Amino acid sequence: MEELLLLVFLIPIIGSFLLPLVAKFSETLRNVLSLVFVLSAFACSAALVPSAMAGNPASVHFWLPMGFSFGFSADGLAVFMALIASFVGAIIVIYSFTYIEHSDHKNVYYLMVTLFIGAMMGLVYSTNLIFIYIFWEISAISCWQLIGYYREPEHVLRADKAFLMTVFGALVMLAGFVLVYQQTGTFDITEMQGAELGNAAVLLILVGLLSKSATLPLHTWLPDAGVAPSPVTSLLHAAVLVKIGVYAFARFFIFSFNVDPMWHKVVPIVAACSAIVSAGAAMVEYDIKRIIAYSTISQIAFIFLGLSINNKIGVAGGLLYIMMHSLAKGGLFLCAGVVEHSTHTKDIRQLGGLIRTMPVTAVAFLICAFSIMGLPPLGGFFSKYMVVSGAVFADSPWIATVFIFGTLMTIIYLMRVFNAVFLGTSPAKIVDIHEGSRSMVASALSLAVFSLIGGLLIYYPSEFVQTVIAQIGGLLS
Amino acid sequence: MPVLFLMVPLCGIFLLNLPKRSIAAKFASWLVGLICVLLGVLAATSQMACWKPFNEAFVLPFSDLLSVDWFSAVMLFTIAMVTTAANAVGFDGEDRKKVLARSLLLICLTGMNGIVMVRDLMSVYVFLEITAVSCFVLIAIDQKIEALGGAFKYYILSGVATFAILIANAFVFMNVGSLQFADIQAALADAAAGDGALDLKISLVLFVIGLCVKAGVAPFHGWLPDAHASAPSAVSVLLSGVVIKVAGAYLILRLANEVFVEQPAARLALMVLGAFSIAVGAFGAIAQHDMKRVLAFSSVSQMGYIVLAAGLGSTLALMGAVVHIVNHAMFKSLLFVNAAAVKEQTGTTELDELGGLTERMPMTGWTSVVGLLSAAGLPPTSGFWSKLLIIMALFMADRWVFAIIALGMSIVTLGYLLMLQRNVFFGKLHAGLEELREARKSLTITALALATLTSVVGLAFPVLFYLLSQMGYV
Amino acid sequence: MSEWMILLPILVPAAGAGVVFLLPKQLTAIQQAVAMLTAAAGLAITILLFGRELTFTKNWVGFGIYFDLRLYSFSAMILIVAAFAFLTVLYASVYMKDRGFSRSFYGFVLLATSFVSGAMLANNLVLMLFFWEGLLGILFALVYTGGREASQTAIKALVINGCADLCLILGVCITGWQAATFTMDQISLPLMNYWTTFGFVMMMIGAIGKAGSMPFHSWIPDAATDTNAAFMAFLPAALDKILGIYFLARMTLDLFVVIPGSKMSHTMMIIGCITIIFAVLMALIQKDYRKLLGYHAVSQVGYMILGIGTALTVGIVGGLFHMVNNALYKGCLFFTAGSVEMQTGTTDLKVLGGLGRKMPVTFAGFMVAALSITGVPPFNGFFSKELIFDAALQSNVIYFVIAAAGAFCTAASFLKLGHTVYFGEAPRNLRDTREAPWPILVPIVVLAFACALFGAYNVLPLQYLIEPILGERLHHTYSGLPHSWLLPAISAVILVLAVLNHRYGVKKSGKPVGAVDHIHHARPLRSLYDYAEAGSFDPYKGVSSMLESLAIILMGIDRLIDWVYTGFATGIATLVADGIGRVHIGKHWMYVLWTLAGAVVVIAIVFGIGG
Repeated sequence: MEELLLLVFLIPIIGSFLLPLVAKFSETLRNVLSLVFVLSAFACSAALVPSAMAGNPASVHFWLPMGFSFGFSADGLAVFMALIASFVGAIIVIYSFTYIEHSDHKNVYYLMVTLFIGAMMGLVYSTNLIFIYIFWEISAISCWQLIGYYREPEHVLRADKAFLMTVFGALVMLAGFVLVYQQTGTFDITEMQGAELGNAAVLLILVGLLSKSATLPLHTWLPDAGVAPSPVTSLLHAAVLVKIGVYAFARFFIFSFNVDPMWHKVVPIVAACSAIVSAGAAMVEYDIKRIIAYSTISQIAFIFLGLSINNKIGVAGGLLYIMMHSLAKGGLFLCAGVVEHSTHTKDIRQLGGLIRTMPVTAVAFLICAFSIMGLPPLGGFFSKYMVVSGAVFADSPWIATVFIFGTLMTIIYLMRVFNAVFLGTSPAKIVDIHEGSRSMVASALSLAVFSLIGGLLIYYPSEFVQTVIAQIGGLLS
Repeated sequence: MPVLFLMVPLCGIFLLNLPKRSIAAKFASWLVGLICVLLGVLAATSQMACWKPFNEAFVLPFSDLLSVDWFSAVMLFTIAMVTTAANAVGFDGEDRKKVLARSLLLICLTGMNGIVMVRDLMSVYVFLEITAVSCFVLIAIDQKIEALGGAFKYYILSGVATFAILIANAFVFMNVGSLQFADIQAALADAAAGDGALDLKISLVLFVIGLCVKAGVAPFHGWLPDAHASAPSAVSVLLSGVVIKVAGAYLILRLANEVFVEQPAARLALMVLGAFSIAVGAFGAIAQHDMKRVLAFSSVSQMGYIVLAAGLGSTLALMGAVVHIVNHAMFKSLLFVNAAAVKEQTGTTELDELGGLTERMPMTGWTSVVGLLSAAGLPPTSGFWSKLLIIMALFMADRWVFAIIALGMSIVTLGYLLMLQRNVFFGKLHAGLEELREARKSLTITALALATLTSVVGLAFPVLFYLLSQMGYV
Repeated sequence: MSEWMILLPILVPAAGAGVVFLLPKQLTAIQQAVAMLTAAAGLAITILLFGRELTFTKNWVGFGIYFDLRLYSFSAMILIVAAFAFLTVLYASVYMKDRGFSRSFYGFVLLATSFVSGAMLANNLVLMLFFWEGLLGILFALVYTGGREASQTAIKALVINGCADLCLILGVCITGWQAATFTMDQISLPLMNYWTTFGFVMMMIGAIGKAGSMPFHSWIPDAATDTNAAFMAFLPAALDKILGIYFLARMTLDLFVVIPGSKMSHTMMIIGCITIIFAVLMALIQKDYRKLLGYHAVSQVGYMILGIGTALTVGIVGGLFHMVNNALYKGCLFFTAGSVEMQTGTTDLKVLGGLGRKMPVTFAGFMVAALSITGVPPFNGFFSKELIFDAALQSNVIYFVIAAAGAFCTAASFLKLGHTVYFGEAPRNLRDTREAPWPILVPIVVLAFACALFGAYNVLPLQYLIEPILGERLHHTYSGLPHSWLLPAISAVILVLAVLNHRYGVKKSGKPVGAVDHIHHARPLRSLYDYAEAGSFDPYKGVSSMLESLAIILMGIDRLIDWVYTGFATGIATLVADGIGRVHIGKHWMYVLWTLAGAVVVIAIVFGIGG
């Protein structure tokens, strides 16, 4: 078990640096190996499930002086996140095979994507704040390289913007970590279970989380990151990047520390502002990827709401939301990628009527959009419902009302995109459009199908999440 | 054994200046490289027990003046490493100049080695001057007008520093009657705010000023951007990589913690200067349009971190400062080596005339990514750990303002380094650079070696940390 | 009987839908057969289950959210759903033949049947929400595939219903919070505090929104013209209305304790009245067979809400009875509309005429249904309307007056419709019109027969289907003839007035289609009508444009935040940087000056603190 825990992140991280070397012999082998590395993370995580569920998680610990440590542990939360990230990541890698077939720097692409997922694995399994920070920054670095992948001046500038904003947040968070260290004398989370955290430390850490998870007021890099290739945006939004912040939120403020009850009010309010403002922006934008990016910002707010509201149904909803949103948002971006790949435009004003030429993509898009909107029987319904009811059960129905309004806006802006891109008549400029390649469409559709399955078989993820929450103990009211 | 660190380079100078200049020119780089590697190995092993019998068996002249503790060993290793890099970058021009330059390189090396090994203020002064003089000439060796200007400014400000240090020495001598570190420390401990307080304070002020000029800490840094940017590439590597650290930061650390201990006012002064330097360097770098000038300002900023930590003086801070010296030596030489490669391949280091070089010079491009990450203090590179230690130390000492400056300027650092990266290596290939090729082997190999070292130290830091703690250094 | 049986009304249609979707496109006949068989099986199952009590509970999502189904007198209404599904599929087998999307239509009709059954059987609020909201996507798909260019209407339907459903979510959350359980038969909340009332209002909005009351109605008239008649017939009976009214009744009866005459009761009644009168006024002037019916579909919901909103036993019985009746006659009317459209190719009243003799069965079906909806005894509409009138009069006479006015307009508009389409001489191009084929006629005849049966023998629906629902609240049966003679007398007067008005209108305008033009063009109404026709009163449009303005403001906030980073922060940094860059002039004296300045600072610190 312990070996698996190390392999789960070492294989993709070390493996990623082998990919450029492998490419010297065979490009196909590189692509396949990249997939294999990501899948290995999935397989290892899956193998860690039984012990995590049984309540005796596998763990590795080396103690270093001065409260430093080198520790990894596979508890329920970590395994849950790792499974989602690696699974969606694997689908995105498959999708990439054809998507970036004809671009330069493919080595960089596969290296960074694999490294990204490896860093995510390291992050979720780490029990040490410093290692969490390290993997956090590795993910920021890969993200920086991937956003600027096409190397247009505009792209590089936006990549730098994203990098700067996330690193800024991370540095502030690091200050928060040091405060925690000052207070507890250790960087190891397992050592400070249940510690009361000062408000300054919470605030500092929160800045980091918000910047990584693109929440108001540190969100503006995310829409700009839409210049990245579609599988990358999908990766950022669905599998790894923005989920890091919410994962860390769950890890710190739900599973580890006790915080001032004030934060159970403040974070939902911040999240509410984020949800509404970004939803409004999504209703105005014309770039399909920017719209979906704003949608992510808006949806992440729901996750924050669920996790911060401090009751079990809300937290369970938040965790399920991470899963459902990953599947559906990944699917949306992959569909957007198919559209972009075939039509070479992202402007919804120049698109239309694609449901006739690209029916499978349209249906996949619609299903994923429905899941994001929270329509049953798709998975998004349950998570959204539980989050909202968590807010109500925490005696803040007004917050819930605001989020319900946000959901209404979600429906409107997603239908606006769907309408503009797939319905109506296609403009004259767009001719000779055909469905995307088989592997691309299949990846997108598979995410849609998994959204559906996730809803129909909600019993199993919900059971999983309930077990995870049961392991927290008394930290939740 | 410590004498070897002085004798070996001196022998090298002797060998280089044998009559047959053409042969010397041919083998100069190999010879200097060999010497540097040899010294590096010596330095790395100097703290091992195996040297003990030799030290006892061969008592050479001056041996009692020199000593190598672990701090010196680290410095010696850093010096050797950076000099190797500078040597690999090399000099262009006719044979005579090449030999001359390499001889000066060795003199500089000797001077620096001396600084880190001696234990009395007078010897420190002497070696400081040896280093400085060799550097003036090295900067100006191409006899270009900007380089001459740079050397001149360095000379002027160095003069101020020399003056300050010499006077300070005099005050100390007047007070204590000895310039040995141990004697001074003992006398100060006895006197403990006794009669000599005023003299002591004056000497402290003078030392701070003098060493800060040498270290290039703002506002004493005026010479640094001009000198570092206008110097030949190899000299830039040397200057930014190690000279400012040995002549400035190392001495500040050594004096503050072994000689003038328990001086809160001087410490505060150092911290204020350090924080100011961090900010000035970082913001100054943003406005630059030349790759080497950006890097030079970056040095000002990074020296600020070291001086800030040296001023704080807690164990954690000292550890951070030492590690940062090594890290900065690694990544700054790496970046200057890459700047040399860019200059060599494109003929310019102006940011506006560059762009997209990674496409044609992948090794240079990717190694400088490692360098920039390390400079910005981002994991998994080594720069992260030293910055973390410094910031931790500031927080633990409740120095909030300094902590916030140190942390906040990290983001500005990242900002200007990203700007550098964006304008030089990323983006689309700049027009007119279509024929560009990768730099020569010696440069890329040096860059690769330094980048590898930076990442390996970063990755293996927990292990190093563990070993250090086992050996009782932490 | 095994408890698993209760799953069959949900699973069987869903499985049928799955098969239909998975079959290759070309096998139209097989798809049709599968759909028909499934619908028939579903009907058989519901008949089998009728009158039984079953419960089924399984762990589901946790946190008090169980997969909890309960079959009892109320949820037995799935019988109507199943029956309509069968009739619709039968009807569609001919009607949808050349329309494209026939596979999707069958599939989604079956899916809808499954979900509606689930929502009605659910005994857990969240489970109900699951099925209830699940219909949203199906509704979108049905509207989209129902018409060739119905995408805008489909989106409108989705957004409007989504809005109502979101309110329902909030209502469910708040109710569950206040009641501390989601199990429906354990909830009985008095409307005591602020939050309970809020929860009630939210749930009520969900229910009436689903039922298509004002202000959630505006997609229905659009759908009536844009989609097809089979869908429109299916909609009230098996999709929206039945569910909305079912839940509204359930709320008033079980989940909350609504006191007659309370604020909530009045709120519901006012909404009901507004819906009745405004929708029927719009229906009055329509010149399109289906659009006219579409507005009536809205208007009739008003009666149901009015009835249930009284919170009186007689009103609730009337409302539920009216819901059943409405399903029957409105289904029948839309089927006739489809039949006419199929045979003549149009539903425009200006070109239709004289079809009574050409299409006698359709005509007969129409007559029965129209008499039903206008409330002519002995058809079913009469009895349910009288019950509602009774309840309205008991609450407040104003409600009664409005309801009566609604009845007048209903009668007037159907006189116009029937007269125009079926009487008189057929225009030249309709001379060769023939009766529709039997799969079209069977549903019409069945429904017409049911209208007559439920009216003449109203003991059947009332005593077997509706009155058991009220349980203990029921003191005596409402079946049989109306108890007082006053209300029927007033109704008779209204009908007579309507006929007189019709005669006047026909005379005045010279053609039956213009029978209500004198109302349409009356002074104050005319401009209002013009605005309404232009969509100015469509809340969807108003709210959409408001949201758009809001979105622009929010976008402004977003850009402002972005500017703080890209403009402000970088601007400051550049400013500082330029300043620093500018003082590096490259002159050594300058640098010496700095050194001196630095020296001063150092001296100040060292002597300031130490001294």
